Amino acid sequence: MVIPGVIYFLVFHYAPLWGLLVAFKDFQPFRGFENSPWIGLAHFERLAFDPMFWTALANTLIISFLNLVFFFPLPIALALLLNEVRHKYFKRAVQTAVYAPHFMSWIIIYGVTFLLFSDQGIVNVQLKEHNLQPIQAFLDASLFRPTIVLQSIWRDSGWGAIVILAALATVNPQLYEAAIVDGADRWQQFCYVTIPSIGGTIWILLILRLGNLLRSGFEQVYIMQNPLNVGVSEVLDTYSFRTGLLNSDLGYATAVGLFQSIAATILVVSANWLANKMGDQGIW
Amino acid sequence: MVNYRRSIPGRIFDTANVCFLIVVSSASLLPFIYLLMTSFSTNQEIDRGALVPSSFSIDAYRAAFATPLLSNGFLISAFVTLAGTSISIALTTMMAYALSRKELPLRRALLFLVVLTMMVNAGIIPLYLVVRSLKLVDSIWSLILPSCIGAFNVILMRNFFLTIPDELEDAARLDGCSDLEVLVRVVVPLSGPALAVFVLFYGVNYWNTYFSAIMFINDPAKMPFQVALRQLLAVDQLQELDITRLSQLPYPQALRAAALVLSALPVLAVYPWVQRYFTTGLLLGGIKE
Repeated sequence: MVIPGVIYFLVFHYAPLWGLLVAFKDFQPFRGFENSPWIGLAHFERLAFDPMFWTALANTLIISFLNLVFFFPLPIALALLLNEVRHKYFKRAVQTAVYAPHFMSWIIIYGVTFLLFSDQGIVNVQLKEHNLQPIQAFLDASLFRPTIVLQSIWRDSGWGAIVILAALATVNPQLYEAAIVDGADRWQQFCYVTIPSIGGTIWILLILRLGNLLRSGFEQVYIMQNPLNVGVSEVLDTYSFRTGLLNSDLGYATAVGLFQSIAATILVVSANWLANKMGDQGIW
Repeated sequence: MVNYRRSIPGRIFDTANVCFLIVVSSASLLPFIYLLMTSFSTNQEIDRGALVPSSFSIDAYRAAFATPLLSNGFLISAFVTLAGTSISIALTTMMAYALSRKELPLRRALLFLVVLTMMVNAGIIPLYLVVRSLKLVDSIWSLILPSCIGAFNVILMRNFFLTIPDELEDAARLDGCSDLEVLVRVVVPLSGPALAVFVLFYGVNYWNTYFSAIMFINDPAKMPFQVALRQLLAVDQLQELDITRLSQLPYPQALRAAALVLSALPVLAVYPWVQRYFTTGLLLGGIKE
């Protein structure tokens, strides 16, 4: 019964690892894999001197960092606030509202952004009527990063809160009762029981996020890219895609992807090691 | 939760909290409302920047259905979603169940195999090469097969199956059921909520397919709905997209809004029913790894 599943994983997850060898070849699609000459680390040398690569790397890190600072705390805050609500149906209603954006495709999110901020979009029409500057979310490159972060916030703040809410639900009620017996008021209960209980979960989430610093949401970024904002919008994923599938420079693109995978793996492993060192369990 | 003394600061906080959460919920839902309103608006109303249209015209929707690009994409996506979800659920359930039984040989190794794929990723180019060598490029199946089993889902489902008591399975065995029969007749009926959640996850994932399509498909006739949507949004002159009845064409804005609403509708219609199963046990089991 497990065989079809195993076949799937072998074919689509492990077989591609052979494809990584393309990073070390001068791959010509017409000549095929075996007939393309080995060029060793030539692609990687080119990588080191390619300004677009470094730009892509910088953009990836900047976007991840912005997400870390602005996005990461929000699901936690939302979960904590939601947890304080005692009315069951209100809580459920809010949850339904707040989880919904997660299921929207990036195209829809792009579409909404586009409709809101295009020249006929309601935001800019209203701004023009009041003689204010229109917000050109797509033409102005400096607005690209904030738009990306805001989109992520809209989409996933609610969804991220699920994990925290689940953790909050597992807190032992006796801890709260003990605290009340000791005379703690609501704020003190929050500080001394709630926060420490979910500290471990938050720490793990932080580690996971740090490990993913080099990864970015391909779809979201790719859709929002246009010739005007490529300087800030090109990230490693899109760069690899562009050079590989659009420019047919498959070997180089694989090299970019390989660099990203290796670096990301190193990050996750070190982040986990760091967590272990500091006394929490980490992921494994 | 526990009894809070109804102190004044406590009540102020509660009221503020409720207000804040209402604001947050509205912010989550407003974009949809905006889309809906725009899709029903006429040209003049959009020019004026009105939020609520005074007359609800469905011209935009009529045009959307008349557009081959969109209606074709809709059918493709519908097929991908239905076929893909069925395949995914079947395979994931089989695998998760098999991995949850202690008798399975090489269980540890197989589990490790699955978990490892969550950490290690060969990248998009090698995946493309594999798909190409399987002659799946430009085939609808390239939208389904490469992502038909999610490792994370297998783990979650397996955790769920672990909570089913052995006695039930043993009783079924005593009655002469084979492995597959036990799965189908005993385990699956017990797993309703869990399966519903996974159907939702896989379904939404297939419905929202965009990346796989731009990677693997070049034939415009096989573009799923999201890709068609993207084209609709990106092109300035709608004439280029072969949209007929130009004289009666609703403003591009309305048409786009209508298409977006059509894309979001199936998901929004199904999702609330499944939402209440999210936190009950299913995800808790997954977190305590």
